[in-house]
Amino acid sequence: MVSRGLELSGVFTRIAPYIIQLSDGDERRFLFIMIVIVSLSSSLIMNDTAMFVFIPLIMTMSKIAEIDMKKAVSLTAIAANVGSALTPIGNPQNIIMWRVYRISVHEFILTMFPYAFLWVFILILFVFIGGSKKQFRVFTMPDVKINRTLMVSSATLLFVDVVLIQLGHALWALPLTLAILAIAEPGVLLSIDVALIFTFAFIFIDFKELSMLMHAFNILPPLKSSISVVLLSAGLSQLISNVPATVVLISAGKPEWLPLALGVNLGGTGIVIGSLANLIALRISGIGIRDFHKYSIPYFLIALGISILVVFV
Amino acid sequence: MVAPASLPIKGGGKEDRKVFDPKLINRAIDVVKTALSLFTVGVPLIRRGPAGETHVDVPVMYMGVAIDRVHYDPYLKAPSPKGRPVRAWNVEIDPQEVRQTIEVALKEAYVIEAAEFREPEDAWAIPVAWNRLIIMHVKVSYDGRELIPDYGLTEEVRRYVI
Repeated sequence: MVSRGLELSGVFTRIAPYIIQLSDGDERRFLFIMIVIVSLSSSLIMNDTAMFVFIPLIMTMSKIAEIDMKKAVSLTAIAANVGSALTPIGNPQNIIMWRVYRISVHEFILTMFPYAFLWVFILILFVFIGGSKKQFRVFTMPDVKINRTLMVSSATLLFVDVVLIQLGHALWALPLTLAILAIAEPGVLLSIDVALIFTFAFIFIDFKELSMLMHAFNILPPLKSSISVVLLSAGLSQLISNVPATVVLISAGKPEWLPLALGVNLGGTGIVIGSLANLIALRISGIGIRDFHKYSIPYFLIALGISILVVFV
Repeated sequence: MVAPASLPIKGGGKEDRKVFDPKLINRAIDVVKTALSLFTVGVPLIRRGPAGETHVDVPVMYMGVAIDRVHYDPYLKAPSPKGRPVRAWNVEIDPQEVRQTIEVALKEAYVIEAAEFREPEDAWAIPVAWNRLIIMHVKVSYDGRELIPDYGLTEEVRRYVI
């Protein structure tokens, strides 16, 4: 709700003209800025919301400046997945781990920071390696009206809700959010996607059952070493998406949180079903799965290999 | 017999806006002209009705927010004018084809240099036409500087995409 409030306030649409100006007509610089901004914003407003905000900007850019939309969409979707790994509120799997393992917000961010930084760095290399340097004409973009009341109330609620949850008062966060948003902008409450909430509830029920069955029949390998947890969670994310993979592995034996977080967050890249954000990006932009995999699979394999080396060291 | 007092005019109260400034309309029209080339076509919203009919609307997007919907005529395979949503029976809809059709129409669309004022939204509504049909309205703030999105439609697009 809070993330939706921030998005609907229109504040993120104000960033677009600055991205165009800062890129100074250089496609690579544009992609670099996009990756940094998408990574940072997805850690606050969640990865799928970031797709709704930034993929249309790429579509506009491709229409006006003829940038490589397939590459831009693919790298932006990957940026949303790896950037959202930084905070406990960046994506659904992090929220689950944050609540289940009772990790503090600062501990989560500090622990994940080197990995998220590494993943974004590897992604930036994809911008500069390969492809020719392309220039485009810098153009002006009209602003979209911002709902300032909604922006301020949503930003404040984001901070207050995280503090309340961290202090163990999660039950107060919901009525507080409902009350403030009902005053600031009741339309936000009506815009809540109830079907999506039920979808996540059913994911929990179904995949918890599945996990118990897999455990009973000894299908899942033991989750003893960190490397096995990273590999298994990343691999399972490629097959059943990263949120279900998180539920399955937590239900199967609650492994250490860091290897699990590394595996499921990196597992959001690679094959398109790894994360809902990928599917949203492809659906909005209309680019093909093969085009996405051309960038996402090599990225996944390289980033996974380097991450495992880092975990070993 | 005393005539009943007339009902108060809805809205109003903006004393500083009593003096009409035509420059604001020019500015609003210029904003729409600039934005028109930046508009993109969203995912077509294809609905099936209880009587088996199909209804297609195509959202026109600007940086992630929806500006307005364009009605699509599945029989003619072309945009339908504003106020004439088409309910079609026994037709196959190819979303990719719909999207491409509206993309072409949007390239050919032009801004009509006129505006109506919408007091509830405190905005100018500037018509955009294609092939002599008004296919959408773009709302611009009273001062003619900012585009006003259709947030209800933006939400509908979000739900449809997911």
